[in-house]
Amino acid sequence: MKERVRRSWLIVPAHKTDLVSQASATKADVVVLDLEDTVHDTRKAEARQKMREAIQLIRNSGSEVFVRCDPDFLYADLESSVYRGLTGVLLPRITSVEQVQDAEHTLAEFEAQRGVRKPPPVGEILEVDEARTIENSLELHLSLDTGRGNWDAPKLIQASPRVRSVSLGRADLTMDLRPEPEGDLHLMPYLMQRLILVANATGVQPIGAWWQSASRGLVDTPQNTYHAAATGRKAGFKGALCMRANQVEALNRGFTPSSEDLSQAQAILHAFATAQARGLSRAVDHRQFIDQGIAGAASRLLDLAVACQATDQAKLHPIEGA
Amino acid sequence: MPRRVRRSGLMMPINNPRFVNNSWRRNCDSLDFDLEDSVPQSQKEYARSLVKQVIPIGLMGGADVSVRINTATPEADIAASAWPGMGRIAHPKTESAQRIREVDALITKYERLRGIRVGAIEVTAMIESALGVSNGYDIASASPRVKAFGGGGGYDMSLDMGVDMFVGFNQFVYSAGECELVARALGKEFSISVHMTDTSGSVSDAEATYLRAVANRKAGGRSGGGLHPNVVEPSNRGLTPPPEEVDQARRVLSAYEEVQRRGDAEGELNGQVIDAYEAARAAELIDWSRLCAEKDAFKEQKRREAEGLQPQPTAR
Repeated sequence: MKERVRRSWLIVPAHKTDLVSQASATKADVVVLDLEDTVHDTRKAEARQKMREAIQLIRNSGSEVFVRCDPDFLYADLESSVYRGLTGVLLPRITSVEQVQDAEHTLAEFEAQRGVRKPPPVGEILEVDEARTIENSLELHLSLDTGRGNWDAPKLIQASPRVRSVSLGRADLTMDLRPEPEGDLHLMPYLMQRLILVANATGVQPIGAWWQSASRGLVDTPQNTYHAAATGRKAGFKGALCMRANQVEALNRGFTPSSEDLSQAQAILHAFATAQARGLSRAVDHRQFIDQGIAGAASRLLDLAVACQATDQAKLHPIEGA
Repeated sequence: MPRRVRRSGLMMPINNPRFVNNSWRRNCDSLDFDLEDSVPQSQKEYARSLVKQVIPIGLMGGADVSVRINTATPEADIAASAWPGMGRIAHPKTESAQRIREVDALITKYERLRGIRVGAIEVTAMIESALGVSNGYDIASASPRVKAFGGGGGYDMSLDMGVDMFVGFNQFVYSAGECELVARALGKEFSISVHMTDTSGSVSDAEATYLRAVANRKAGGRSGGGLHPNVVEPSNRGLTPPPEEVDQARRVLSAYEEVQRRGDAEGELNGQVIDAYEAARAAELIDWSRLCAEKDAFKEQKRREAEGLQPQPTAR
């Protein structure tokens, strides 16, 4: 399956109409409508009630839509959210295989009942008579924000084929990880690298950014967000969660290959093609040997840039009601 | 179980009477008597014979008492150490869960024989080698006596791994991170040590100790240890929240109450986010501050009582 470009995941409280409407104008790759942490218990019912409309609004604006459910209210949250336009469900505080399977079953139930399919990438049209496959079923995203969840990450991810991406969510808050003198949040370098390793081993997208010091809970300034994204991309993350509309542009930019990256990749491909034309298996430029592997990476980087551009383009002309 | 306050520790060879007889006056939260690396092989037997009489000396100042045993002689060391008043037995260079199960069984045996509540003596499984890190999860799960878990850093680890100890980066990101994650996954206490570039390796630098203790506290650390009397006071002070931070925590708590009253999940106080996480952090700090004050008062009282009694030195 070709991976979708999901550089920015903006979380907004589902009951706050103004923030949802603001999110629809941000050009986030993904908007996560929240029923969990940012919604006070007394507002959950209101948030669920507004969900269906919010999904349509966001989807029509050209972003993919996820919903973040509260594991304690999973049935009610899914019942209010599994409607046409929804792409997936973000599950926080996951610590057991049973939780993942429970979510999968409930999700499948509403999906079948209501004839809901995962929408195609933004800008493409959903065929109504498409057969149900894992590719067009709603996705799960696991936020592994506890010690237990991180330790058991491989088996939690493999608990359902619907799990397509994984993040540390608010591990910094849930696990109370605070800045060390030299900038990194305590334990986070280990947790981030472990997550990236596990995600690659299990074939799902690692989502996150290299947040540092004052970045507390995904609400950092655009400048720091850009830095966290750019560093995160180099560490292996594919996109990151955030909670403020003004972070979206920084994430999109940070997770898109820079023009410098692109010209370097083009130079590599050019040198490699030239060497091949001369019957050589590798080229040499001033900094490295360019072999099949290096050329392959350069070529994937160009593909990513094209996919990023296509995603940005599609958001300019989203299909009504798609 | 109530949280322990173990901001400072002092590890000393149990066969050194000068260190041992003064240990209770050091204002330590924990006194750690060594049977292992700081005791020469020829004195091991003698060292063991001291443990029973050293325990009450350590307790005189209100500290918790622990002993570090030898990997080669767990049976003899535990027989010599599992006496009333012993708080904790530390097993160094732990590499297998089986070893911790054996240690647990031995302690249980002596607890029964000597009228100690079974389970009272805690076990510290020290992780100081690559194999120990690899088996960390099983080791930490091996006994309910292992209440706190961590390691994968420090001098012995650097020797085992063949890496330099004093370098300008954190060479234990993986090994220490893995041990901490094991503790968190199992819901055990853990101690942290933030990375600070230290090329001197001094064990008696009070100022550096204070700065490190503050950095550890700010990163969420609550415990410390040491090898030299100079570092006790800076460890205690650095890991105790200063009054202004406690006041700020109280303001955060009342701001959060206000946010809750409004039916919101998140608010702001002077540019700082106020939510359930910040409130939990503030409540923890207030609680920790209270526990530190209680421990200080307890140590003060014990010390006064002891000074009135004029203790007789027991170890030669």
